[in-house]
Amino acid sequence: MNVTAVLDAVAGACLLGGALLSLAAGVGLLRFPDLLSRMHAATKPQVLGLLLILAGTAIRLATVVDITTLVLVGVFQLVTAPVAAHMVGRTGYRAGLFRRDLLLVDELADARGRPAAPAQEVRARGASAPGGSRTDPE
Amino acid sequence: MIARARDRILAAAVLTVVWVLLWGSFSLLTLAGGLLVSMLTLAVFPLPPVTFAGRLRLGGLLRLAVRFVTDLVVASFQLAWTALAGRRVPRSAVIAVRLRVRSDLNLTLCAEAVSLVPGSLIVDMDRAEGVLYIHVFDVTGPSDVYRFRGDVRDIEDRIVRAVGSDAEISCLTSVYDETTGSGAERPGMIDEGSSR
Amino acid sequence: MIVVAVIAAVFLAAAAGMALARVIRGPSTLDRVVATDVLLAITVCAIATEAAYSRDATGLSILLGLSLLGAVGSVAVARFADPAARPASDPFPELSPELAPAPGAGIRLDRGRRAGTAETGHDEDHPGRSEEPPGHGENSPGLGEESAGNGEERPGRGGESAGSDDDLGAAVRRGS
Repeated sequence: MNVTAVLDAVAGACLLGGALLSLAAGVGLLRFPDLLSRMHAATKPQVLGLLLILAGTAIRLATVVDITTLVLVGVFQLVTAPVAAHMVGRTGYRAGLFRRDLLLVDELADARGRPAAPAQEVRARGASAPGGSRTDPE
Repeated sequence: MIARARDRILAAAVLTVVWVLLWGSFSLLTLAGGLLVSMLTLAVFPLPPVTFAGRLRLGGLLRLAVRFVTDLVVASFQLAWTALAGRRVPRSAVIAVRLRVRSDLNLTLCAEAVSLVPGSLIVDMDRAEGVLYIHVFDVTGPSDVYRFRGDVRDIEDRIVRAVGSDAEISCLTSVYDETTGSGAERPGMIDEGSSR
Repeated sequence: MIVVAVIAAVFLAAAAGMALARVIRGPSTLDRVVATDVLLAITVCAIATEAAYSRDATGLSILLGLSLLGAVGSVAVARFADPAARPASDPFPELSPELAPAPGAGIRLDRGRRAGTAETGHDEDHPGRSEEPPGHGENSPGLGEESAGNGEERPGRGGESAGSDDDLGAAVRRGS
């Protein structure tokens, strides 16, 4: 058992863990019921999965130049991933692309209902509600 | 004015570090090039005035990092298990968490930390009121909602203790009970008092 | 190491296939965006795994570009996504009755983004928005419009917080 073998084993474990998380993300992407749930599945390979694989790669390559590059890849990913997730999640929520029946609590709807209560009522009864600003497409 | 200058120097330093890391080797030439490029970048694309009023605390940063990594690993594998072996349709919740320190920086850092952990996602935020609206995945009951709200407050606690100013930290402790108590009065918030 | 590489490659290929299936199935544009994001993350993982296996750092600069720019695409699509443009074959139309947010329903989180624009110009702009022609909300890109609804509630709610956003003391008092 020399150092190289141990390091290789650690790197292999990291790579396998990251690949496993990616696989779970793929399964979640297919199985989860709505957009917002699928986004949770998407966070895995983007964060921990990628970090594990980058760590494994850093152990295998083990030169300063490559490790700094990998660190930067990880940092950039950590900084940009939440921005994309937030933008998509916000749009998805506002567009109603989620299953309300699966929500246990929705405090955002409550909070939004406060300033514009009548509008909320119209929306809750659907687009065909009489007197609403939006009419039935038919 | 001094604060502005300090922010700019900080930003330039961070960009220079990124530049040097990109080159992968430290030399006077990369350092000078990095300074030049970062100053040019900041002149062309000036940063929004987000003032960093606090100071970095090593112990706090360490505690934050440990907590964050633990959360990340635990949540990732929990979610992976739900995806691979879950039998029932997972339910979610959108909960509002009112932060105690309302600076833009704290709001951003908390939102980043929360949304990097799988299982929680920021769907909206109210900047003036300092409220994050978080979509939480795989919620089984109201107790999960209370627990998660406590978790977010805990993360905020650690972030402020890591990078906040003294005033912000004292704000953290002095309003803590008040904030949890006031959850009941706010429309749209679950009465947290009834859970105890 | 070859065993590890093969297993990792199988996992990643399976994950990429499933992400691709989600891209094809949709049902909404945003689902596809999320799936594409995952596909990109898996690609980054695969390139890194290859680099680790062959101890060859050639691909690493690709990773830099991907990790920096990966988010730009989804942000752009999310920003301009048109929920009304979903295909007619949406399998769950009843699950998302509100295709477009009602005008005025947006909460005021666009304040920060609009900080640079002239407030008065924005509000003068606004009254025209509240009298949308019938059917407008159904057929138009609702997301572009909805931020215009912000002006509606700002005068009412803005009064209580104006000028004190960064005032910790006031923030504490308001929290009680």
